[in-house]
This record gives sequence, structure tokens and C-alpha cells, in this order.
Amino acid sequence: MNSVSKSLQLILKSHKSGFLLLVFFSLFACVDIEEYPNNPRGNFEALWTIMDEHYCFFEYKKEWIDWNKIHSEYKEKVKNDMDDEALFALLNEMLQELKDGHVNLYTPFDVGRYWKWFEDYESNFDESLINKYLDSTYAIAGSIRYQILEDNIGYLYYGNFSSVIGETNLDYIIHGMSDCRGLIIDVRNNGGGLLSNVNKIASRFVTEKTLVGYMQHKTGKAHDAFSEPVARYIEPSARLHYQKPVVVLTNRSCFSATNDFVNAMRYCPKVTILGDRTGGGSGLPFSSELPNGWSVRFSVCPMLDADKNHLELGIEPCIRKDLLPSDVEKGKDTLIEAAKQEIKNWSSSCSDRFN
Amino acid sequence: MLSTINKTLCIFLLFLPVAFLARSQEEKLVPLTYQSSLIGFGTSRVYDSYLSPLIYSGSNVGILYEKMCMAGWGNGNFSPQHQLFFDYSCTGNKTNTASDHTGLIEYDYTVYYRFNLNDDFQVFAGAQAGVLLGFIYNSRNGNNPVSAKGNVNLGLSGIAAYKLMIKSQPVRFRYQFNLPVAGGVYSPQFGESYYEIGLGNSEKLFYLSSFHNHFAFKNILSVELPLNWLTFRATFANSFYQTIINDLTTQWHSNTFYLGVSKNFYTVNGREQHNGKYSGVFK
Repeated sequence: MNSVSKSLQLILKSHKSGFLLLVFFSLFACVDIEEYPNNPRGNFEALWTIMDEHYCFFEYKKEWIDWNKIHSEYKEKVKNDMDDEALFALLNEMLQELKDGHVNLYTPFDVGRYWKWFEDYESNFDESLINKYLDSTYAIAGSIRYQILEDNIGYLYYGNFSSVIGETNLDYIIHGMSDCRGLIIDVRNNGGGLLSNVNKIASRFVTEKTLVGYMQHKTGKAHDAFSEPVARYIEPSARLHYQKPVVVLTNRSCFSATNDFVNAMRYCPKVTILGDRTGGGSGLPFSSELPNGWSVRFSVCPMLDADKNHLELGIEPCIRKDLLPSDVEKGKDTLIEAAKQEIKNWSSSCSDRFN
Repeated sequence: MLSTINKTLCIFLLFLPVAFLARSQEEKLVPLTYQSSLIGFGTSRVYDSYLSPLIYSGSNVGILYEKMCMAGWGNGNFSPQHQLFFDYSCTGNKTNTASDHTGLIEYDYTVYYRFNLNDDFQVFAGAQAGVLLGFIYNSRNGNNPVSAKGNVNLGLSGIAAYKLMIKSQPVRFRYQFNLPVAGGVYSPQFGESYYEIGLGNSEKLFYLSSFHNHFAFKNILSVELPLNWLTFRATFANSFYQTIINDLTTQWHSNTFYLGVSKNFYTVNGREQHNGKYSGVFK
């Protein structure tokens, strides 16, 4: 052991190689973090790069999006003497090229958004009509409003997937509707929320483990770097189930988690989708930020249907219906009336129609 | 009668180390266990590209616990050391529009070989095994609010300890470095959400690590000043942690100034305690 001590003394005295080894590792292992400057050009480059590296639909939307070309076009317009409002307008315009409702730019004075996915279409929804059907005697379980309509058909309205809904709430709703001929689930104007609520509700309408789609994520910065799609299933709930005809009402404002819910429900037995095409929004959004502190939200994880088709641009209903002004004048909701007829004359579910 | 026995025992215990030390000069020194507990404050810098492209900076609080003893084997040349670090930092971006909360807990076990270069200067060289668990939480993000951290490592560590006599009081200076060399590290994929991971949709979350994708070190500089009942210890720790996996980069860097106490204990095993020489709390 003394020889080891002597050797170390020699090493420390002569070469200092332990220290040099540390310095060597430090040099090649530490990386410098590149931060963009906090000026209009720096913020523009930061935003473009965040989207370039993370946004997941460049490949799917490549027919109308050339992100490098967009960089060249907008770079010319960015001036370092722009004020915040002008910079926001320009950056928001650039983001709108993506035509994605999940892409937002948040500033203290405005929120950049692309809402043409519902603004350019008929709403097919009238809140006052819903209130007429619900009457003043409707019940509320969690955040779901529900009522038994004339003709003994259950109707429930769920307006936000971010709102709390518990298993016990669903038990009470299903139990309350158990004697009805069928059930109308109205998710019109539901802009999305928690995916966990999608699974929770849909699990009450499947009788066996059902493949409803796939999910993937980006594995790198390249536009086409994706993981293998992983199957998503809805497992039947161990609690109360509803096994009578169900009609899900949709419009263009069904977005994000609601889009996912509509997709899941169309694979359930005895369920049909009625109304307008959904708004889409199938990319799970992430958040990031610019050097000036503005936040940006963007899609990162695409969700696909059971046939691995993208759902980003919405889902066609099984039965297409619009809200007719003539019905509105009579105090009738065309979609609810059609859904009632569909339940009364039940013939086939969405999944049957697919097959 | 009982008080006489107690006094005798106290005197015996008081002089026991002296007796041992006296004997040790001829035969063998009494092995003592070193323990130290410190609390620290400092500054930290956090970067995690999963959460943000910006560097966050702010302050941190830390706790450092250390225990070191002489091994009962290897002719007293080996010293195992336990080190437990806890660090919490609250950092913000440059525009103060978002904050990161970072929590890390790290345990390292090292076995050192001791080189007594002379009476005042010692050098320790050791092999280390460590585990680190942590998180970085970003207050602003929606579906990607957290970046979880985890790794197990085998590494190297070294200590240089120097004793300086000032007015007949020993003031001890100590430098220690910890350098993980290889192990395993946790990382999600580049754009993978924790929602997906929660569903079990993950092909690979753990990676073999070495300097190419994981680099971390600690520089710990301490000075210890003996007082009447304990030893005061002041420590400066410079910590760096970096992973680059799946195009995701994490950097955490802190400079923490710790204050605390250290003590040396003589431990008696259960069998020795029954030989009548010691008075323990439990008979």
C-alpha cells in the first residue's frame, strides 16, 4: 500500500493528470445554450425555430405549408424597431399559416389564434334552444346538464371537457336514463379539455376493449421524425353501462378532446354521430415561450383514428344535419329532433355504417 | 452508592478516548464516525428544452448530509462515505413571466482509499455509486409542465484534506469532487407527452449514460472550525448536471453556500455494549 501512496504523490507532484482529466471532460461535455436576443428579430427566429422543431403537422400539411419559405417571407417583414403590437400581428399572421386551432400566441395584450375552423361555418347551435329542451327542471351531475325529453328520450349536454365529471355522476346519469328509449349526447360548442374525461365517458358505451385510434409523438427535430403509432383502446367501465341507442350531436366547434370523444364514440356499438363535421384539433398541444416572455402553444402529438387516418381536420358525422332557420323559428332544434327520430327508428350505428 | 458508580462510569467514559488514543499511539487508533449536517442557500441556473428554450435563473436552498467512517476492513485504509443532497430552486425567465421549480434529491455512496501524505495532508480516491431523482416544474406550461429527472451512476470521487493549526486549534480544509462516469438516465422522447407515458405508450425511457449524453460534477470546498461542543462547518458547493438525450437538453447549475455542524462519534456495537464498559440509553 505504501507503494500506492508513493505513486500518487508522484502523480500529484509531476503530472496533475487527475485535474487535467477533469478539465478535459468538462470542456467536451458542457454545451453552450444558444439563446435568441430579446428583440423583434430574435423573437421571430425563436418562434420560427420552436415551431420548426416541435410542430407535428408539417408533414401532414406539406401541400400548403412550406415552413422554410414562410421563414424567408416573414423574415423580410421583421424590423428591430417594430413595437410589440406590430410584432404580435406579424408573428400571429405567420402562425395562422398553419391553420391549427391549437396554435396560439399569448401576450399580455392579446391572444393570437386561428379560429376559422368554426368561424367560417354555420354554428348549428343555439343556446336558447338547448335551454328550452332542458326546461328549468333539468338535473346537473358534475358539469353535465341532463333531462328526459318527451318521447322518453334522454338528453344530456356537456359543454366543456375541462369540467369535472366523476364516475358517480355518470352512474347517476345512466341510472336515470336506464328506462329511456335512447340517449342524445350533445357536445356541440364543446371546445375540448381533458382526454381523461373522454375515456371516462366513452368507457360507459363499450362492451369490450375497443380500438379507437393511435397516438404518436415526435422523436426529433426533423418534420418527419415520428414514433410508431401506439394503439389507444377504450376499456369497458366496471360500473354502469348504457347499451341502448345513443346519438352524439356535433358541430364545427367540437374541437380537441371533443374531437377525440366523437372519434371514440363512433367505434362504440349502438352509437351514431349526427350533425356537422367536427372542428378537428387532433394534436396534443405543448407550450413554450419567446425571449420577450410571450407564450406559444402548438400541436406535438398527432392522434389518429383506428385506420391511422389523421383527425386534425375534423370528423364527418354519420348523419349530416344542419340547424334549419325554419325549425329555430318554431323553437325546435333540427339536430335534436333528427336524433330523436334516429333513436325511435334505430337502424344502425356508426360502426355498422363503417363496415 | 449508585451516584458513585455513575461518577466512576462518567470519568471512565470521559477518559476512555484518551485511553484509547494513548494506546493507539502504540497500537491502533480508535475509529470515529464523522457526521455533518448543513443547510445552504445560493443561486441556480436551469435550462430544460422540454419545457422552454430559455435559461431560468434564481435562488436555491439545499441540505447536505454527510457521513464517513473508517471501514472495519482493509487495514483502516478504506473509508466509506454517504452523501445526501437535497436541493430546491425557484428560478425565473429573464422577463419574469414564468418560473421553474426544481427539486433534486441525490444520494451517493463512495468507498475511498486513504493516502496519508503527511500528518496534515490526506488524499482520498474513491469509487462512487449514486442515484438522483428530481423534477423541473414550469408554472406556465399546459400539457408539458414537468420534466422528470432520474439517473443511477457509477463514478469517481476524490478528496484532498488539509489540517492547519491556528492558535493550537486544528482548522480543517477539504476539497471534494464527485464525477459520475457511467450509468443509466431517464428521458422521454423529444416530443413525448407525460400523458402518453402515463398510458404506457413508451418504447424507451432509460438510456445508458456516460460523458456523451450525461455530464455532471460537484466541487465541494469546506472549512471546519472546532468549537466547544461541536465543529462548525462552512461549505461551498458548485454543482453541474447536464443531459443531452433525444435532442432534449437539460442543464442545472448551482452555487450553494452551506453552513452547519459536524461531529465525530465513537460507535459501540450491540455486543460490546453488554460488556459493562458503557452506559447506553437502553439497558
